[in-house]
Amino acid sequence: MEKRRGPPPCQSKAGCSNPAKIRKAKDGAQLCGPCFSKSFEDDVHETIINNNLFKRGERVAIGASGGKDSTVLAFVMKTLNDRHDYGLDLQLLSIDEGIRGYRDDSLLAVEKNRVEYGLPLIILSYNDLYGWTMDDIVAKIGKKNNCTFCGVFRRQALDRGAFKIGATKLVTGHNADDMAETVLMNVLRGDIARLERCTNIVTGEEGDLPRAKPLKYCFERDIVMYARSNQLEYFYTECIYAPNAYRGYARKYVRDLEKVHPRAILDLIRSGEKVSVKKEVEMPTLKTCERCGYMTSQKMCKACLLIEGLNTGNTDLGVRKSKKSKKVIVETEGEKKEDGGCGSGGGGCGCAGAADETENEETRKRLKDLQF
Amino acid sequence: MNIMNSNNFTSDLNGKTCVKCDKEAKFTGVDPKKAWYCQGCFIQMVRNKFRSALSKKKIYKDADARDTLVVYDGSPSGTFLLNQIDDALKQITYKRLMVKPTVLVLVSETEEPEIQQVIKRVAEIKENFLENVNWFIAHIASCLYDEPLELKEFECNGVEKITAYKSLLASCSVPTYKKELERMLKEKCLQKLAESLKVTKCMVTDDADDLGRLALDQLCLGRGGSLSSLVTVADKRNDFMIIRPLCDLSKREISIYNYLCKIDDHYIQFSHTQSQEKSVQTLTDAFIRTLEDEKFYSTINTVLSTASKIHNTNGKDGSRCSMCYVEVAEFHCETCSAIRNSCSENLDNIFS
Repeated sequence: MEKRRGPPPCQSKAGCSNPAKIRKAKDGAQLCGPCFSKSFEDDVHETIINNNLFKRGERVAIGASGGKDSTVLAFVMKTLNDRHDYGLDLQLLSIDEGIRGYRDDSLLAVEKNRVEYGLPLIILSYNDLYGWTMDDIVAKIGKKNNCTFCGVFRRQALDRGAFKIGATKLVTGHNADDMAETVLMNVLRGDIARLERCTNIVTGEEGDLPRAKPLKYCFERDIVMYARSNQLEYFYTECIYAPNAYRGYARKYVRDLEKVHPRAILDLIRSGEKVSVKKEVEMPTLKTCERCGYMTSQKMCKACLLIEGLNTGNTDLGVRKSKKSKKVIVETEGEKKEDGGCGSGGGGCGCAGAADETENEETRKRLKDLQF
Repeated sequence: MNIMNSNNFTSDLNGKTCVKCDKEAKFTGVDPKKAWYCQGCFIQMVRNKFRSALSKKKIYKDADARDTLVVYDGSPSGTFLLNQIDDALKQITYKRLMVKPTVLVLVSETEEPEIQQVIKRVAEIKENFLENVNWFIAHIASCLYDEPLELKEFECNGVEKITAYKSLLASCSVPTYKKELERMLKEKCLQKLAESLKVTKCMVTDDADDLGRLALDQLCLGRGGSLSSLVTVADKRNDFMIIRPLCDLSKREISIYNYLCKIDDHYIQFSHTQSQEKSVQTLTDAFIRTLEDEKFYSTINTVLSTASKIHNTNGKDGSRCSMCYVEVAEFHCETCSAIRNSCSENLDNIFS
């Protein structure tokens, strides 16, 4: 019996005769480099068309961190926009969290993308927006819970940045693994409101700026292979503050699932898509933040609450439900009624009663400049 | 420092008092940071959870439908269920539970000596619980019968289908789907046996730990919208209902209760040889164990609470999948289609 030598032929539907080099994680197809790239791009195009993600002439902000997902997103969006003539005005939007030795290096990768793809780039920093860098925050609160601050601030910062450049849509590089992890995290945390909407390909339509996830059905492994086969330069160092115990376990579980039963990733997303909250369950209502005007289900948005905690030294505020933090909120609100202040002795507090008028004015102006 | 050792549960008591009375606390549920109880209050708390699971859904409000198949699988949870039904009928602690039970010993072992051991052990256990009600022993392979069975006492019904059952499972090439198929066949078996006995309700031994794991498994299999049906106390399927009265009780609580009530030796020891094949189910089990080891004790509770608050986007209406009976589908849901495709043997005759 003759033994087969070398790699199997490419399984592309186009009838390519090249040897296969890459196994596509999503469907297990063995493909050559160019056919893999074409198949990946076709998947993203199909997602965009089937879900009617964009309108012709729209200005779309691409959330770019310099990592693999956003680098591939920027490249694919540019490629598909040119190939299929979507007529989109694409712009790169980066957020500088202020993490020395991590974000400053990754922003260099974004800068390279700007030059290579010829897309305009805007960078907003936490320092400009909130008066705090992540390095400052970690110095203040330690390494525990810092992802809560970073995640909340980044989400808002991206929205504010997109508004600043006049974008009508924001696209992010969330991939299938991220989506599966989010579904799982929302179930584990019991966050039914987020569970219901987290798998929507476009979110935030009820607000002013919809966010779209064109890579929603792309596996992380395929994104890495696409970046490699197209020789895309990306920054691949993990955030130096990243270790986050609980999410870390969920991430490992999702990765193990992908190895043992790859279909579980898409099934997790499918599960999330099918979920809706029972009528009898009470849900939070959407309001606007009293301080900065951003959407929230509470009086103050999470970002303002976290800044409040940082400025007043109560770093549990907005992080955990402790009696102490609740007491502080009550006290803060009480004092606000009396003298219009938030209790901060300065430190960048934007409310009317803060002690340092100059800093107070600066923070308020910073937030108001970027208001919706 | 006072240290308690009972049934392999070591707890640091550290001068705690019972949350229900002023006695010294000795026992706690899943999370040692939460409530601690004295022996009497712990037993009461566990009983309360069992009874409230049944009463809050008003499962036995209909006087015509009290006939219930009570499943016993030899596990500590099975022993606890028998004990609770026994107590409830004797009206020991509460108002009498208006249920007419028939005990079904469900056997999943496939070797003849082990099946004989089950029959022998059941005769001993029967002397302690529910001796005045009917007991039937049936193998899970009974699901393969086309017609309702004529169940016989004192023998294991359905053993003649064991070879076909083993062959069916062996024909499934994906380990995850094999385990899911096993679960679905078990439910099918219960439905078939209930139908044979003309009973519409069936109480199963799934406790909170089992159901929490099942919820995550089903989420990974794409049945997220049906979690509520799969893991809450009442699961209505046309003219058949699966009742899970242990859904609020953890294995730990059940084991402590069994130990305190001296019923912990009324179980059947099996020499289970767990499959070494990696699957979604084994990963979920490892994941939950890791979280518990890292002191995230509330994981199971949160997952079950989340599952109880959600339902399928398509609503309750529409035809159900003819294999799993929970997903909304014209014929087969996507997961069941994948299971069918992974089996070389035809599943249509079983799930028709």
